[in-house]
Amino acid sequence: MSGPVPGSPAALGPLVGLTAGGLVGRRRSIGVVLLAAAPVLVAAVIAIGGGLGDSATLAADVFSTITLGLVIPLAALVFGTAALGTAIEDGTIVYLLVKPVPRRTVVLAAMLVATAATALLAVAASLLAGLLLVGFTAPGLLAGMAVAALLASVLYVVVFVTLSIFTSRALLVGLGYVLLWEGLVTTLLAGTRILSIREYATSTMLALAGTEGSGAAQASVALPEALALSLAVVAAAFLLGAWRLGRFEVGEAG
Amino acid sequence: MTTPPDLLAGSATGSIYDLGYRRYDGPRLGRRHAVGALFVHGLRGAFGLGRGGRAKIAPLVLGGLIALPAVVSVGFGTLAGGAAEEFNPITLEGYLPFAQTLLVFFVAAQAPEFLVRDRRYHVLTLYFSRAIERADYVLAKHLALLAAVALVFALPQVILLLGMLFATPSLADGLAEVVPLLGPVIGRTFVVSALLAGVGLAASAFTVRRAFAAGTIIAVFLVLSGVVTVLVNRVGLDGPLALVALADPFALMDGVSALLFGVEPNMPAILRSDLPVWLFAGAAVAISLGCPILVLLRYRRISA
Amino acid sequence: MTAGVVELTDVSRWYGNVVAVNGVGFSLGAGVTGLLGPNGAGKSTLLHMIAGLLRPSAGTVTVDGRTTYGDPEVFRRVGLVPEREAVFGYLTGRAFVRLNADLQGVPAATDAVERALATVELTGAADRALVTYSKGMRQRAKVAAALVHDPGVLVLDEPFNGMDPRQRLHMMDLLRDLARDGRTILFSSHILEEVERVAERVLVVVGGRLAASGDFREIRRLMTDRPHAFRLRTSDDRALAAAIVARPTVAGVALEDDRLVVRATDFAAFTGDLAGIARAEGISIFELIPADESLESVFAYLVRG
Repeated sequence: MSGPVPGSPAALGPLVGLTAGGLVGRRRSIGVVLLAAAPVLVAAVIAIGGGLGDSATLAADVFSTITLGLVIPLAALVFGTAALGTAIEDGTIVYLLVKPVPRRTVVLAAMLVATAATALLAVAASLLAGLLLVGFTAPGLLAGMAVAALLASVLYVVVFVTLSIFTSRALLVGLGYVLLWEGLVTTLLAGTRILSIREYATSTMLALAGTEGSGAAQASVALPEALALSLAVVAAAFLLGAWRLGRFEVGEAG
Repeated sequence: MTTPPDLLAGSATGSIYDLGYRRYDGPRLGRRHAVGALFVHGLRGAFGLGRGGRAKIAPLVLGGLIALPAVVSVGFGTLAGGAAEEFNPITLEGYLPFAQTLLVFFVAAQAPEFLVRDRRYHVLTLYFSRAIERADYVLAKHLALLAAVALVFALPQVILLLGMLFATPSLADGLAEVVPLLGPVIGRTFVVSALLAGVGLAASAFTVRRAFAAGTIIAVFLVLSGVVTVLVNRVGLDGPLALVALADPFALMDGVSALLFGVEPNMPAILRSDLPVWLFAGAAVAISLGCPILVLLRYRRISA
Repeated sequence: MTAGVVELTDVSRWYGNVVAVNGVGFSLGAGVTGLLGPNGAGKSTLLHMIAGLLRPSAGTVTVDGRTTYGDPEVFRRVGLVPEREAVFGYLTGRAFVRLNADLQGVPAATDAVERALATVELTGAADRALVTYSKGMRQRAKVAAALVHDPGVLVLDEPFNGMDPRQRLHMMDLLRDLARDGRTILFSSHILEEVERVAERVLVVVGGRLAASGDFREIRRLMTDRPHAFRLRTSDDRALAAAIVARPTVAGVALEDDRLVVRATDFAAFTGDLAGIARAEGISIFELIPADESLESVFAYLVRG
């Protein structure tokens, strides 16, 4: 009856499989793939039509406004809030809670799967769009965009997964964060940019791109601070999420 | 209870007692009335009436914010006098940019309520087992949301019109100024509302989660507009490629505005694509008509 | 199979101002116990506390001596079949049970899964996705998932909800078999016939309080302050009625249809009296049936009181 203690390695596998199976819902996936196709399509149009201006700047511009500004946060929102959110909402989370599995493992599995899905789309979209625009002439920029896309995916997803553990309205709150905080407030008030995921990613991209694509976006947060804050965000989100799920109580049947 | 019937000893009979249950044999209000009731119910629900306090917050706040620039403009005009009108950027013709993003939020907040709830809790059966056909249901919902958005968008315009009316010394002059504007105002309000309502309900017809529908509506408007703006600013759009500019919903609305009021458009998508203004207005109308058809097709196939 | 021991001591649970469970105490061993009560009585709350999902606001809930909340070991000893219908629809039956086995850390998981599926008779349909299952099949899948780690205590929340009579009979047989293996089984219901037929023992919960516990016929008998009703068919109802209405053990008589209905205050004394009176009057008694010893009247009485 008592088997080996299901620490992280043993139980993580099945949990990852379960979360992955749940995330690949038809309509949801189609929507997000379409979303990720947007920057690629834009790049294709620009490449065909003949862009105005330096292609590296164009590529950085497309990346900043479309990919980083809209596609990655929205994709992360969809996958991040669904990973645990759907299970919490329809009550199937019970099956995960009545197991001798540490709650942090459940959270970790959700974050891993959602990040993988988002990052896959994000990096693919960034690289494809970048290649269409600059080919291989600006490897630093390409690397910068890919790494920034990865970083942004991780950060957005962990925040949204934790959000979904705290509230059933995670989608709306997340939308509010993306549109109001990062869309409006940080654009207007320079001082708030230190608390913006988009800024951390932008800073990383610019650091790797070097002189390529300069002029498109300015780094409001210096690289060391951006990296340190990114680490802090991931750690805080994970710990908070694990703590909250650990105190999850399912009372009435729902 | 009436007297129990006689029971023959040893026989097992049963009977139903007359407790006063009465069938309704009176006149029944027909299909048109049902559709009208659905319309009114939807319209009221869009403003949170009959739904409890919290449902009123979003529509009231958004409606207020949308009307705010108009109030400011009229106040400014009254205080500063006619000469300062030149510096007032808030005009009737050019009001759309002040309202459009908030109108999108309004639709994103309210449109899902119209369709998603009925599907999520499986009450469509109740509707369709009455005098209402599926087409009636879709149409009534569209008209209700259209009316709601129109009311919200009309308010600031009415405020501005009133401001113009009372700014002139004589009422006759005021009327001469305002009356010709009524046509364009009504036309623009109608088309813009139809476009927003159409897209809003089309997005709500395919998912059973309200937040998802809301997010999709916001994403469609903002992503499309953002993408097209970037494209238009960065690419030389020649020939057929210029048609990409038609994908910007805000540009479509601007086209309607420019056409009806006879002013210059101000969205980059129109300006830089060199496409005629009526094309944008026409696209707006086409989408407004196409969306209800899409929703209707979807609802034909839903099992209820 | 060692049965788990469930013990509750003066357990209460409140949500702000609302008290869901109020000073409940009982202990369970092997066999089937039914938790009976109207909706909102606190049954789910109790079951979730036993399963370790909920912390009691006061009192202690233990399984095999271990406090349920916050102890992962308890999850190995308790299997929960939740009330909510939703399951991971995209998994097959076998995959669902296998998931539960893996998360429980069951050794030789494949065999355990097959055993569990066989117990609930789902082996044939185990390769279909859960979303294609009927309601009864889904319930059985949930039971299999709760059994796969061989727990000593099985807790089921409204397991017969929405089942048709045939499925219900199957589930009842299943529960009885599991209890016979030596498990402690606790299930909740608000439908009296279900509890009557399966449970050896009943816990009646009303408004968060434990109103009664034990064999339901015993409970009924204990409430001697309420008149028992009997229905008799005799050779001369009216004469017998006239004779017994004088007795102090009789609270009332009524002639209904072609039966004699007697309300007695003291069950034991009355039955003794009746035989003597009937013989003295020369009346034959053909039929004597207790009119209200079903769980229904127990329940109605408790709820009303």
